[in-house]
Amino acid sequence: MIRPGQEIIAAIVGPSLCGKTSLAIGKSRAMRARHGLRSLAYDPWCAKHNWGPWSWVTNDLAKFERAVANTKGCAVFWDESSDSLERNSVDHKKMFTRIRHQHPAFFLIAHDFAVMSPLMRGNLTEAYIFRQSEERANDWRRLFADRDLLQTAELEQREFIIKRPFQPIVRMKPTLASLGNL
Amino acid sequence: MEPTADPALAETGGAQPQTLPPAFESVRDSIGRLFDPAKFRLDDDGRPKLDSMKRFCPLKGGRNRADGSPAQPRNGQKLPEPAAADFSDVDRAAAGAPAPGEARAGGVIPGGGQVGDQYTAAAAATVSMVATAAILVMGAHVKPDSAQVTAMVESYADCYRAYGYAPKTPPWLGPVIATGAWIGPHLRTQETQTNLQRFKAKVLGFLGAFRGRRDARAAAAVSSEVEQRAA
Repeated sequence: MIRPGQEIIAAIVGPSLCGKTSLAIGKSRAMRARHGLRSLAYDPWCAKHNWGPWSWVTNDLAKFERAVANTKGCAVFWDESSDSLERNSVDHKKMFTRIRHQHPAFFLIAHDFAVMSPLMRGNLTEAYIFRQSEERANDWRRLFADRDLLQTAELEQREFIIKRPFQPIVRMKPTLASLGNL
Repeated sequence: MEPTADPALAETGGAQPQTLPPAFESVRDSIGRLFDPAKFRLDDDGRPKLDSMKRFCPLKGGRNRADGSPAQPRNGQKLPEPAAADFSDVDRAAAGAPAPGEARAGGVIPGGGQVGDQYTAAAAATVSMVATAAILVMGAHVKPDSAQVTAMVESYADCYRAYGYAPKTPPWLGPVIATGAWIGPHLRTQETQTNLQRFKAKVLGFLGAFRGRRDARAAAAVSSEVEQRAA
């Protein structure tokens, strides 16, 4: 169970075809298995992905926003946020600043560091970072004040780094079967 | 030769504390982790112990990771499938419908407050029909984005709430407008007009042939009657 004060606000960031959605689906499974949380997911390609019978999935952003605003106690996943998240929208900022009062876990899946505003990045409790350019690796290093994040420029395909503030990085390349046990 | 008593050992309960020679302070394993004697084992030679995949072995033992997270499944092992969930409350929330048992009658709840979500549901239906009708008449470029839809729904809901009135539209009106919004733009294209003309010509051709045969049969019946009378 995720206790108050330990809510998860996470970003899964990486280029196309690196495994972001697979990781997100694995985290959804893990949230259900470990904490008993149902998942609410926005996925424009939901017809191609299997989020499991513990997940409510939609490709309608307005429906997703209403579902998140009017329910409690779920793990929320926002996929393909690069073209749907508005950095300066008040409602979208609330996803990062207030959502922990309603839902104990929120995962944003994005293609780039800059999809999120500085306010949003400052509220992250976890980051799952796939292969980055050197410039972006430096941006992540500055955000978390951790030189080890420069390794994100050396990652292989489907390899990623888990970074939590004040904790050392964890570098992983799990199999598809073990993604649900992260 | 008996081992000499070491006062430091007494503090650790007799266990030999692990000390790391300076040469191993910057050693990393195959997944990039720095060696930490508080987390990982040393082998009998005093070097960081590595498993078959050249990863450090955790001090805690077993297959759990040193940070306490659960073990990865072995080759071929499948994770148990988590239980399915009921989402009736989420479906209602996403549709903007009131929960079961929520007040549906008109009027203000004693002590203040708003009457359920019937006004929001009615506002959402109104905005949907207005937007669809606008697209039908003016084109797809006027389709509102989610922020504009949300703002319109809220303003309509506030208006209905203020008047205590939630209009009920006929159920058939929505599908008619939606179908019209889909097919309307296509009616104006040249290909559609050409095919409509061809279809019209075919139908008129069939009708013409049918009428011709009917008239011919009637004429034949009249002429045979005339011949019979003349005979």
